[in-house]
Amino acid sequence: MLKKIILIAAIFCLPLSIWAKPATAVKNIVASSQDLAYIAARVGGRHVTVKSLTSGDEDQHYVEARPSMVMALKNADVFVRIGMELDMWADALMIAAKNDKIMRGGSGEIDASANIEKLQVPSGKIDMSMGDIHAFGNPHYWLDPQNAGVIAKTIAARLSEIDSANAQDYNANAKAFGEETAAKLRVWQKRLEPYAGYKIVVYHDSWPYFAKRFNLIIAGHIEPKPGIPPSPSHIASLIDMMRREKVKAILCETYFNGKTTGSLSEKTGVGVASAPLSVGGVRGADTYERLMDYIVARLEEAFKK
Amino acid sequence: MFDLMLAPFAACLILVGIHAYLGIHVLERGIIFVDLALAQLAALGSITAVLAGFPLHTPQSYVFSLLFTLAGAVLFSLTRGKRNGVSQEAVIGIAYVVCAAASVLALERIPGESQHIKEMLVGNILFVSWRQIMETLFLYGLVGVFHWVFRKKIMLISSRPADAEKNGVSIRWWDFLFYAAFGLVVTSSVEIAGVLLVFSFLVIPAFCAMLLVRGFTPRLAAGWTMGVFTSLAGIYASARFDLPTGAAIVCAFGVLAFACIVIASLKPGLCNR
Repeated sequence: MLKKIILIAAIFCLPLSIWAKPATAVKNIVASSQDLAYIAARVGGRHVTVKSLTSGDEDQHYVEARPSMVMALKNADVFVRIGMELDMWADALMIAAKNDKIMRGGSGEIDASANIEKLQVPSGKIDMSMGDIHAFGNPHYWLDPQNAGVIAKTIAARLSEIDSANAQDYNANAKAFGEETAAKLRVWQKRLEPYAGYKIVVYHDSWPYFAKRFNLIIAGHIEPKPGIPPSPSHIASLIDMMRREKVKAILCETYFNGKTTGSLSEKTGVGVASAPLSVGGVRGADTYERLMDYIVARLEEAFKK
Repeated sequence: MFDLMLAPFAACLILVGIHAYLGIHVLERGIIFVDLALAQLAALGSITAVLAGFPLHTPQSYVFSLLFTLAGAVLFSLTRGKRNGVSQEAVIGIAYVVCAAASVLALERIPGESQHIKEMLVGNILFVSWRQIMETLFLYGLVGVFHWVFRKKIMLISSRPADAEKNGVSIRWWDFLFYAAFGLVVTSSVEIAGVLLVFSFLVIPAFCAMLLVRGFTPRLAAGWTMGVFTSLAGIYASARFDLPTGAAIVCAFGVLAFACIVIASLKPGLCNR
């Protein structure tokens, strides 16, 4: 009798025990950008392998899907994404991958923007006439080195939840990365200190986090509205403004047209800093530190011109 | 990988099914770029709907793009043949560029929607859903039935319009129906596969079949066979070498076209039209 009861109880508990068993592996991490891949690799350390869906010189607004991206997401335990509507191209990939772990709201989907103090969050109704506006604020938050530490913490917290056995490692790695970046940030801030309060013109609105951290003022955009190429009259008024406001540099994403920035620079005598937005965007910028080093160095050169 | 590529392949099958057939008509009539013009008109219709306050993917928006497509059908049925030595292809080209430029102007006012409207013209066959495939199959089925029932008239008008006129067939009316049905097909196929791929499906199998064999039925059979195997090759290449799927299929069709041109020139007597 007793044996029977135990047997029946065991049968009933079997599915429960499977259900309650925590998913422990975070072996395969996939990230939507090289920056997040780099930070996730630093946090995961020896416990993980990390793959980025895009290369460093790709415009995150427009990404061409390839079969391998879907396959990477199929086999992913964790997917780290930029969020804030920037990497919306990943949505179709996630649907095609049919992987419950990384589906919206799944345990393995990490929105790296979760704990970021967001800039340019629109207040009130968003109007289609405002351009390619992101409803949750400007999504280029990783370009503030302080946010790199925040991203690392967000990733570490989730990895610890999923794989509690190695939680200590993840948190220690995130802390070390955060401290390392904070130390470097002081060096970068020192280098750009002489230019504090300088006005710059940027191509796309990718730089508000960066500019805020380094006390630069974004006086204008080459794109009249995000995602829309400049018209002749916009360029003409931009040139007037740059002379009037004494703009000191043009900061331009590497993947945008060099001709427009070149002619602006020629007409105004202002130097151009052409810099990638992501790790691996140019040769040598293969870590987050080197990416930031690169951006800071190009800006210094442009200011000195 | 196999299950990932299965839906795109199924989509290719039904797209080749209807486009290789329509392609023979399109080549006979010498209106090669009509698919681009009609797809662009449909997109312009959706943009106009957004400007008028009807969001994308609503019935009103669909009605707008349908009306624009029908307007194109009227225009193309009125401009048939050569006038003063200028072929209809010129009208089609003009319609295409003006619609594309008008879309650019209109999109500037609604950049928030621009991404979605661009998607109408650059559909990605890798992400086609089974639901989309079934809906498209149903629509193409209707158009296919229409073409089957009226095949004699439609074929006569495509290949020998003068004879059709002699027999008292209203060429304008049948042209309008042809272009309207064509617009329906192209609008949904472009949303699935994008303009490049749809153009390839439409023109290349039919072109190759016309180079190699004679008669409508053999050409249709050859077009379908070559279309299916070339799609399969493109999809295999996309999976094997990790290429964007649509572009890989288009290039596979390019290889097919080149091969057929070489074969046809080696055997000049193969097909004298």
